[in-house]
Amino acid sequence: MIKKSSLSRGQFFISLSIFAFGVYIAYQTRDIADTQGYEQLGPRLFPMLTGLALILLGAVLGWQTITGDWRDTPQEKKAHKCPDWKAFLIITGGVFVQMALVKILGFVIVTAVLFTTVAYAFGSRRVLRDALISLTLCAAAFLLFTRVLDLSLPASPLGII
Amino acid sequence: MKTKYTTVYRTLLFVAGILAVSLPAVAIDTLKIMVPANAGGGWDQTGRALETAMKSGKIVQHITIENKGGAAGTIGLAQFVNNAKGNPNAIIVGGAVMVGGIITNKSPVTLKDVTPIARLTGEYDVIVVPADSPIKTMKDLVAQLKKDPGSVAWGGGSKGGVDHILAALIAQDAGIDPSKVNYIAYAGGGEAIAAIVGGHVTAGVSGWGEFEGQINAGKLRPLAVSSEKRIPGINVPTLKEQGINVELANWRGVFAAPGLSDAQRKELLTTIEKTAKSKEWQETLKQKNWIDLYLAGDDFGKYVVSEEARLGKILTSLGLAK
Amino acid sequence: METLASLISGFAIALTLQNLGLGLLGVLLGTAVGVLPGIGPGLAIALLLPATSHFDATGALIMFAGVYYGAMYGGSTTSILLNTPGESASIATAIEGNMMAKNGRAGPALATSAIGSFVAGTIGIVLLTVMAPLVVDIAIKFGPAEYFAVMVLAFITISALLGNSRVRGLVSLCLGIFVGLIGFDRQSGQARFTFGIPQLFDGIDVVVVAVGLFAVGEALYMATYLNRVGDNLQKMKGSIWMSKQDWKRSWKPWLRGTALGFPFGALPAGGAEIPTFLSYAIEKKLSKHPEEFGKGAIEGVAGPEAANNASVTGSITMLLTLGLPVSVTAAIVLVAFTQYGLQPGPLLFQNNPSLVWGLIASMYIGNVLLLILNLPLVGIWVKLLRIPRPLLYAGILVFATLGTYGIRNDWFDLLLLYIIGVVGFFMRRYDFPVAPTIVGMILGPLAEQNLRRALSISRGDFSIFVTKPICATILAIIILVLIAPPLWRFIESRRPARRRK
Repeated sequence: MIKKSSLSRGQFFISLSIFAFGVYIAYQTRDIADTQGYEQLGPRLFPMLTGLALILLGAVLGWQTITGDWRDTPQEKKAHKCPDWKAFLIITGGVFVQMALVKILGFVIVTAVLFTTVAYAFGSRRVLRDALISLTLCAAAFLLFTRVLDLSLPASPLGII
Repeated sequence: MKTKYTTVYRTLLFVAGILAVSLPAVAIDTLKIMVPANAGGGWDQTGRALETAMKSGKIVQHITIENKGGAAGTIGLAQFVNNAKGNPNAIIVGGAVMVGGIITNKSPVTLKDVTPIARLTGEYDVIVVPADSPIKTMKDLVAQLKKDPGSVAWGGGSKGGVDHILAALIAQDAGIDPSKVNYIAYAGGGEAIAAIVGGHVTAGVSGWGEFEGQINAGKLRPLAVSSEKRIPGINVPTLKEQGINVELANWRGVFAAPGLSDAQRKELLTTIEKTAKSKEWQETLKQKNWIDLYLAGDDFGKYVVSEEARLGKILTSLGLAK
Repeated sequence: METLASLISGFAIALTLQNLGLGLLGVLLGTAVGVLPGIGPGLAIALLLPATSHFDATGALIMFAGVYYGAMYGGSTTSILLNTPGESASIATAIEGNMMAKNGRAGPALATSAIGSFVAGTIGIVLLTVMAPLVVDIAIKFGPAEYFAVMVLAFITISALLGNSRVRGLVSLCLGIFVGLIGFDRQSGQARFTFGIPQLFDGIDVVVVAVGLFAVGEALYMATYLNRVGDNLQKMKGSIWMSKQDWKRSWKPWLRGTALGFPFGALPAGGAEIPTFLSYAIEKKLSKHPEEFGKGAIEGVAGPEAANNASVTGSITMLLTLGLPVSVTAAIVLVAFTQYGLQPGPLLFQNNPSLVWGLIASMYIGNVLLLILNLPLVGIWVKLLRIPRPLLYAGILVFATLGTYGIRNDWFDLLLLYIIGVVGFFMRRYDFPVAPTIVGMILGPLAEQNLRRALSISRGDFSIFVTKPICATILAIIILVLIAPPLWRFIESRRPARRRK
């Protein structure tokens, strides 16, 4: 099941990111005010250790990438060769629309838009059906959570839901 | 044609009617109580007692309590200021511990960011040791403290809170540098109990209500209470009786969200007043040995300001705040 | 005897109409999320947390426990019929189970997994009932030093059991610890990594992290990479009942699976994956029909399914007695406890016996309900697998954002959810396990606080960790865990060398 893989740009980039993130954490630790009591450790120790650990792990992963020791389970390898970035971006768009407009348009409308967008990204082309299903689902969820479970969610400008 | 218009008109009227009904009612029927401490602590008990009194007195129908402990309640306070801004149906429990915590932690969020509603109760602290501890009286404890201040590990509520201040005051009275006090902070008295009962810390210091159960169960031995005179019904000597000139009360109250209108503030004031005067609330006070320190509105606001000054001064002189 | 009396009083609580209803709701939801690919029990409970803040604590926790072990039953259905495990603990089941289904033996495969789950679950609860009071007696002596030692053991077992991507597992753990550090520090009150953003003062909610990693990350990954790969749902053919031969070949794997699942479930290894794979390997070795493995051997279904259900009770034992969450779902159940103002641990047994024993009793009832739900009624659950994928993931994202936004109505949490989702996407793409992130996020700060408390008590003297007997014992176990595997490998490497002579 496990195979040695050739040098991958993606893996190298990931290792580098982990290394850089570790450096960043260790560096940011200086911003924490140091107050020590009898324990003599203070609030800086754990962040520092975490940062150092990530630096080390990033370096090891980087080394594994170079030597080809980064072992991959190949079952989804075929799929990794043809990523569908359009779907990724469509879902991202749906999430950001929801974030920006949830207070203005209310929960039900923006979340129904999110539902329809995600379904579209997953290849559904029956937009009208999806929109209807989503409105029903979101309205039902909204009523259940706000009326029965006392959770507060923003209502649309129309009021009720 | 005509009938169609009438139908549309009627429908519109009907919708408008629904909208009017769904507008927020004036009386408070739901209330979110933020308890900025973990389970079992004094604020937690205050919040839960308010809930019981409000529900059984039919003052407020729906009540949610949220626990968010740590850093002398400033974590909960920060969340409250963030989330409840302008929400007339939310209150936060707070008190002397929070005042101290804000000063020592240099919290960016302070009690100036919330709307004072009322001071409700006061409670005195009790100093306890595990039942099998060789320390039998305050004299024993002070003797050990004088011999080696760091050897006495005190377990109690948040850093810079009333419990911490009391431990420091006792040290100061014994002629020891208060900054030498070895204080182990827990999110609340309830979380500290396990460490005290297990004998991992030397002594525990927190509100009477938080240790009462374990004292009655014989697992903790009370050494002294921090009141001026003995508390009726509690057979434990005061610190003053044992030659330690220290007295300290831990008051607790409620605050509302920032950015409320006068009408909304009044509505909350009436709700809290009704609750504080209710039979259930008065019974809870008796049962928990809380002292009724009810003080509302602007008077309470002034009191909070004076407390900020008083505790700030104590904490600075103790070396806990700059 | 005392335990029996407590358990009986627990049944009185679990059998009230309200708690029975909530328990049923929990196992129904659990089976559903177990069946549906893409949602696990941890995610389901995380999403239910904001919604259940008005519930009575006992009822809500009975429901959450139902979701937890219900998902283990439901997961096997998907593994067997779809070869896409409904949740990670059912991966081992999928290997043989799906082959059995292809051979037209879906019925016996489903039956042995449901009955095996019931047997293991029930034995596990009996063990929980018997062991919990004993563990509590030891746990009551635990102070900060002992808790810290247990956490170190936890971190080591997690990294030791991470399998072939150990480095990546540790990265995941460290990321979790980092997320746990964000916010005010309990011991000093200092702000850490808050960047002056008030929404971060109180730390990042575990619900946001769990939902981001499991729901958003998974949805992004599926949409980007796996959407073009079709599913192949196997039909249920023939009788659901097991033949005499099937029974004969199943009962021992059930018991062995239970024996593996319970202790491994109690170890902080982030879930049920390890005991299920171990059980699979052992059954393969012990089977009288090793040639059938890979072609649909019933032992390969019976063992792992028993193991994953027993592991649930193991991790619940640790959570209730020590307050130590050892799996993702347990970590989220711990959050549920604190939401109701409860602190799991030895004092919970003293202060809230009705809750603890009500919960334990409800698990006996839940297992019986689940056996009924998953044997005669299995056809209903199979229908869930017919939901088209676009609608399923759209629905998952709707509930993910609902649960997150419902916590405090803040758009910032949705942004955080998306960022964590993108991190989860990359973790999934480059095969980083995500479970250690959640465990690290909960255990990291706990370990830090207990270390600093312990050293405060000893005034900076590290010998506190070896002079206390319980603490020293745990440290000895840690050393054993560290040196035993390399020592074992050394002995193994010597053996064939000797044979060659």
